[in-house]
Amino acid sequence: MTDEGPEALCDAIRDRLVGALALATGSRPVAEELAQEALVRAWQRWSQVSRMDSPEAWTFRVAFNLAGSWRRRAAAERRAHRRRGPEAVRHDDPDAAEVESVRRAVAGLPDRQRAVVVARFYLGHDVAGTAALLGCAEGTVKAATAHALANLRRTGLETDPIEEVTAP
Amino acid sequence: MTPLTEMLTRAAGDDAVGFDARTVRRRVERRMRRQRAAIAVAVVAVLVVGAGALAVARGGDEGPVADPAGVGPVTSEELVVAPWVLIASSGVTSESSSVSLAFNDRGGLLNTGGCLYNARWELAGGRLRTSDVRSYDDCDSRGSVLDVVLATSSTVGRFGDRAGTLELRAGDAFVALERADRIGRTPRPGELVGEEWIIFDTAPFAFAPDGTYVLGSPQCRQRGEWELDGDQMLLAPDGEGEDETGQRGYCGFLRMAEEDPLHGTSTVRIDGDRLVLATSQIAIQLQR
Repeated sequence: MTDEGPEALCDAIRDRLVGALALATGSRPVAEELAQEALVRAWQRWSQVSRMDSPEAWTFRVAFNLAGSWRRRAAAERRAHRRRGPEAVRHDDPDAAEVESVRRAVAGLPDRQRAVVVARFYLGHDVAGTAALLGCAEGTVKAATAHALANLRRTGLETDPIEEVTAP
Repeated sequence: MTPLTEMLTRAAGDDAVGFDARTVRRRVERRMRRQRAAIAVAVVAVLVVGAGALAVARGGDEGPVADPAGVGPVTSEELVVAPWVLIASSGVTSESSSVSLAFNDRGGLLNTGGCLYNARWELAGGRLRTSDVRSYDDCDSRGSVLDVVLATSSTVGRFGDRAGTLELRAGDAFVALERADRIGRTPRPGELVGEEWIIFDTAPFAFAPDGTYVLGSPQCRQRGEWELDGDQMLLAPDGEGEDETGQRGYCGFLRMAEEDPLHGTSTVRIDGDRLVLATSQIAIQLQR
């Protein structure tokens, strides 16, 4: 795939990239914007990125970092709004309530846990693959998974406890 | 498929993605055009400031600027290096620093970014020298002014004479004044100081190989952990820092990165095996 250039990478991962970022940010439009930005960066650095073991993993990692930056900026904006006055009115989201609650629950996780949940349970990576994707140790992935699932359950999200054991 | 996977798949949405490779390509091309335009602007700025510098070199120095507003800030989207010209830009893009140094042909220099001050500048021995620094807001001490200059006027200069005059020499790198104070001299970028800290050359950061860092500036003192992640450097303050407003654990560079969407964590990136602070375009080897 990487021999074919950045276009092929873009076509191969954009759907999953946007989906993962939608979970990471809680917003599909934001996800599309960040996904494009991640792909732009991969494109601009293609001479280096194409030589990496996994350009896809690099792009996802950049995307997760962008999502983290976006979340921090959004938090700063919310703080600024609070300083100025009442909380800004949120736009209605056409998504169903369940979808919205899942997005909110996942987006509410700490950065590492959120990335692990998305990588493992949405993108379908195993522990080793998730560790490679996120650039951390497998033990970190396992611990983050356990904490993330516990946190998701605390938000009312139904997660099967078996997933903690059987998830690849 | 587990229940959680099913939920996540639904929550991720299955709407058609609104872009494709051609969209990304166009975005890349637009960005490259903007970068080329920014370089062109910077080159023009060099020529303009260079003309002023030559005028001063011929004896046109009329002393420090009395009215900061009259200087007319010169900004660019690129830091520019020339043999004797220093331009640091305002925080316009992710490629720029938070300092805005403007030079006029009367020998006046004004910084409108961060700490507001003006000074006299002149050419001396092929070097750009600033003196008679006058601050206008919280830069109430020479040390603060120097530190801000050291911290933000990246790429082009070097702290020369701590006792009096700032000497900015094109092509050299800055280091943090606090680090210089600690070891009694100006460390070189990338130098291990006290067998512990690696000095980063564009901001008052010091990064240790064990993954910790300190940030010391007049506005912010902070410790935390650093991590290389993908093409970015992630900084996690340990909650014990404090900025000028008393806000703890979160200040200065990090706050700017969060609140300014044009900065973000992209101000630090990895280029090959080099760590790059994009505000300066200076890269150093950072060994872990």
